[in-house]
Amino acid sequence: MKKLILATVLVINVVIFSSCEEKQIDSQKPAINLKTPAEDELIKPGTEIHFDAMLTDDLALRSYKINIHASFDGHTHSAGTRAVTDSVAFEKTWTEADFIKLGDEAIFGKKEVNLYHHHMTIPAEIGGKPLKEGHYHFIIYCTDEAGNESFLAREIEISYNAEEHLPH
Amino acid sequence: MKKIVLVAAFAVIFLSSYSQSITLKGYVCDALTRESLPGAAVVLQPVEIVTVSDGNGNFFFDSPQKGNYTLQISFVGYKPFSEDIYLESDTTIHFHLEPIYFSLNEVVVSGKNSRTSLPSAISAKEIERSFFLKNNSVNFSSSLAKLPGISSMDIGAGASKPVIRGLGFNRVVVADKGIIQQNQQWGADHGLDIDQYDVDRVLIHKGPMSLFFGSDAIGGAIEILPAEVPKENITWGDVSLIAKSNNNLLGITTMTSLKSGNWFFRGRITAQTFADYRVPTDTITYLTWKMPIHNRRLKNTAGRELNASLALNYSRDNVSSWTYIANIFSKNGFFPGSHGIPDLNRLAPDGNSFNIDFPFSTSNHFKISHETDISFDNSSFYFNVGFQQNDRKEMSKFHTHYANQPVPESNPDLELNFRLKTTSLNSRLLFDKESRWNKVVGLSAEIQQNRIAGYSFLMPNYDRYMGSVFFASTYNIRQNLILTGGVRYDLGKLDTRDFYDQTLADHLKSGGYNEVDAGFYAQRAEALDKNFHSFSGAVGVAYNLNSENSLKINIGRSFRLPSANELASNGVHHGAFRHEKGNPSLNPETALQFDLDYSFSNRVFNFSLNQFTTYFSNYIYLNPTGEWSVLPHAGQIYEYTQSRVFLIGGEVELGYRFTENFLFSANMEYTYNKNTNNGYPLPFSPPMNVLAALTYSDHGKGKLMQYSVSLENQNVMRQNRVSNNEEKTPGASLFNVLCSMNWKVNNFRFFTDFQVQNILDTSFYNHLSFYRKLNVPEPGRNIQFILKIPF
Repeated sequence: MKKLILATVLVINVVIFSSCEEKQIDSQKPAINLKTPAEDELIKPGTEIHFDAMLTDDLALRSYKINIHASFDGHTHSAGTRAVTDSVAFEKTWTEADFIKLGDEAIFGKKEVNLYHHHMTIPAEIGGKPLKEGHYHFIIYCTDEAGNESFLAREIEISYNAEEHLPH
Repeated sequence: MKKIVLVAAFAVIFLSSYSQSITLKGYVCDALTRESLPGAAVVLQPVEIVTVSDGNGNFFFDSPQKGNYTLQISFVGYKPFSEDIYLESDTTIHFHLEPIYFSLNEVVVSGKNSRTSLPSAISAKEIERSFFLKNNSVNFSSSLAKLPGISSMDIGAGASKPVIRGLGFNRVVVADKGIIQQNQQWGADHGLDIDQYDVDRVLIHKGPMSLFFGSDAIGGAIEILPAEVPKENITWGDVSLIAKSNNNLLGITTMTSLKSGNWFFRGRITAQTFADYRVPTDTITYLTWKMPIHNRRLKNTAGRELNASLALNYSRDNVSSWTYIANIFSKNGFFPGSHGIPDLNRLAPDGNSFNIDFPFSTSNHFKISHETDISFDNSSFYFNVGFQQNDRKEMSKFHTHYANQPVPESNPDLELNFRLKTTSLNSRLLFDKESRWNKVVGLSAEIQQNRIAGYSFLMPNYDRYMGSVFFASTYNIRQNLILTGGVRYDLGKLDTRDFYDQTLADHLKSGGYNEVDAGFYAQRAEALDKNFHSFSGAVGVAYNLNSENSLKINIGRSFRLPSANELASNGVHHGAFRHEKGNPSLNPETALQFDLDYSFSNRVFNFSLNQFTTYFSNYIYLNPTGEWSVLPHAGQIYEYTQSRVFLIGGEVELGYRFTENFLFSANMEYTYNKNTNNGYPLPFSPPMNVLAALTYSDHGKGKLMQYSVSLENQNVMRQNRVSNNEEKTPGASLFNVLCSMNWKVNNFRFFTDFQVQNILDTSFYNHLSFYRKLNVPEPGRNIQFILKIPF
C-alpha cells in the first residue's frame, strides 16, 4: 500500500516536472533614456516639442508611444476641469505608427535606437479655445518583443509665455 | 478529515439500548496548575451531546445509555483531549488538560460538528478563535497568513484577501456559515470584509473544493463554522481591547452569549480605528522619482472599521437551526501614489495622520442567512439560504483626462461604486450515515446582480445565475481506511450590460480618430449573454496507518467561471495603470489537482507534509498584446487569454516539545508555477517562506496562572520568479516576540497578549502587496497589546 502510494506520487511529479522544462524567458525591461523634454520644460502652444530619447533592450525592442495629459493639482486634475470653461486641457497620444507614417524607420527588432523627432505639435488652440496652461505629464512607453514594458514620466509646463524652441 | 475517521469509528459500533439510567460526571482542570477550568466544552460522542463545565470545572451528562462513547474536551488555550469509555454504571472522570499556549501547532482538529460534514480527503485544518488573538494581525486574511500555504494580499494596513498556494482573487472561496462570501474578489484593491474577532472556528481546506463549493474553490476554501452551543443554560461574554503602535490602532470587540432552554443567542460588536502606518524608510523610489515619506508614515493609509453581528440558534431534539445577521463596514485611505502618477505635493504631510483624505474606499457588507440541520435515524438534511449585499465605493476628487467630461451633478467625487447583491441556497441530504457507505446529495443555486455608478468605469453591470447538483460519498473499507469521492455539475449564466462611453468617443474623435477607432475604446463593456457549464469532482483516500501516522491522498477537478471583467471589460484599470481588455470567448477555468497529506504525531513530536500538484488546462491571465492603447495611463493593451499552467509545491510543519516547557515549531511553504504559453511564472506568486518559533510555557506564580513566551523568526525568501512586467522582490528575515498570559486576580480572570513584531524594524516587501509596485515597504516595528476580559 505504502509503496504503491509513493510510486504514484513519484510518477505524477516526475511527469509534471519533465513537461515543465525551463524555456528561456526574457524578464529584462527595455531602458528609456529621455534627454528632452527636460523636467519642468516650458512649452508654448503652437510649437513643437523637442523630443530626444534613446531606447535600448538586451534582446529586441518592439515599439514605443508617447502621451501628454494634464497633471493639474497633483493628479486630481480638478482645478483644470471644474472651474475653467474658457480653456481646454490638452491630451494626446502619439504611437510609433504615427512617426512611421512621417518617414521614421520602425524600431522593431533593434537593440538600441536614438529617437529625434520634431513633429509633436502642441496646438495653439483646441476648437477655438486656448489651451489650459499648467503642468502636464509627458510619458513615454516602450516595449520589447517579449512584451516587457517600461515607461518614464516627466512633468512639462504648457505656457503661452514660453519661449519658442529654436528650429533644429 | 478526522471527522470522517470519527464517524467511521462509531458508525459501526452497536449501541446497546437498555433504558437503565446512568450518570456520567467529570471534572476538568489544568494539568500544570490543577486549577479548575470553568467553561470547557465537553462533547459526548457519537450521540453529540454538548455541555460546558461549571464554575468549579464540573460537568455531568444526564442518563446516557449504556455503551461505548468518546468524551471530547476542548478549552481555549489547551490541547483538546478525547478518551474512549465504556459506560455501564455511574462514572466520574477527571481530566487534566495540557496547556498549549500559542504554538503554531495549536491548529487542531477537534472534529465535532452537528452540521452535516463534508466528506473529503483534502487536508483540513481547524483553527479556533484564540488563534486570532494570539496571531493577531490587521485583519482576518493577514492573521491566517501565519499558516503554511496561506498568504495575504494586502492593500495597505487595512484590507487584505487570502491567497492559498499562490492562488488568490476569485480562485479561493470563503464560506461564512455555509454562505459563500461574494464581494468583488476579482479586484486587487478589495478586501475580504470579515470581522476576524467574530470567528469561532475556521476550517481551512487547501486544495480543490469545487465538489462542495462550486466555482472558484480551486486554491481552496476557508470555511467559517458556527459557534458550539452549550447544553446548559448559561450567560457569558467577553470584551477585548486591542492596541497597536505602528499605526496607532485602537480597537474594541465585545461579545455576549445567552443560552436559555432551546435558544442560544450571541451578539458581537467590533470597532477599530487606525492612523497612517509607519514604514522603516524615509524615501521610496518609484519610476525615477525619489519620494519622501514624511515622518516615516505612509500618507493617507488610515482606516476605520465597524462591525456588528447577531446569531440566534434554536435546537431541539434532532433539529438545530441558526439565523445570522451581520454588517461589516470599513473605510480605508489609499496612498495618493497608488492611483495615478505620484506627485510630491500630494505626499506632503497634512498634519494629521488619523484623517482619511481622497482617495479612499468604503465597503459595507451586509449579510443575513439561515441554516438548519435536521437529523433522522440514519440520515440528515441540511440547508442554508442567504442574502448578502456588498456596497463598495472608491472616492477620489473628480478628475478626468477628457476635457469634455462634465462634473457629475450629484456625488461628484464618487469614482467607482459596485453594489453586488447575492442570494444563495444550498441544501444537502446525507443518508446511510450510520452505515459503512454513506452518501450525500446536494443542490445549490445562486443569483447575483452587480450594479455600478461613478465617473470612472471598471466592471459592467451584470446578472449571474448558477445552479448545481452534486453527489459525494464515503466508504469505510476498514475503520482506518476510508474512500471518498464525488461528482458535481454546475450550470451558469452571465449577462453583462453594454457600456458605451460617449465622452471618450467624442474626445477621441476631436483628436482625429475615426468612428471605428474611437468606438474600439469607447465600448467599455460588451453586452454578453454567456452560458457555462462544468463538471467537477474528487476522489480520495484517508488511511490511518496507526495512532501516530496518517495519510490522505486526493485527486480533484475544480473550476471557475470567468468573471464579468474578464469577459466584457475594456479600458484602463486605474490601480494597475494598464489597459485591460476582456475576452468574450473565455471558457470556465478548470484545474486537475493532486494532493498528498502525511502527518505524524505523538506526545513530543509532530510532523506533517502537504504536497500539491495542479494543472490548469485553461488558466485565465492577462497577456500583453504588444498593441498600444492610445489612452492616457496605459501602455500596451493586455487581453485576457487562457493557457496551460502548472503549479507544484507544498508545506512542511513540525513541532518538537523537547522538555515539558519548551516547544520548537517550524513551518515552510513553497510554490513553483509556470504559464506554459509564454514560459513566465504567474503574477503574485508567494515566495518561499520559513517560520520558526521557540516557545517557553509554564504556570506562573500568584495571580499569573499560565504564561508563554515565544521568539519567532520569519524568513521570507526573495521572489525572482516573476511574471512579465512584475518586479522581483528581495527577501528578509524578521524577528517577533510574543507573550501571552492568563491571569486570575481574586475571582477575576483575564487574558493578555503582548507582541513585538518586526523587532529590528527591518524594511521588507510583501511580493503580494498592492503597494509593492510603488516600492512601498511593509509596516515596520509594531508593538501590540490585547486584553481580553471574560464576564
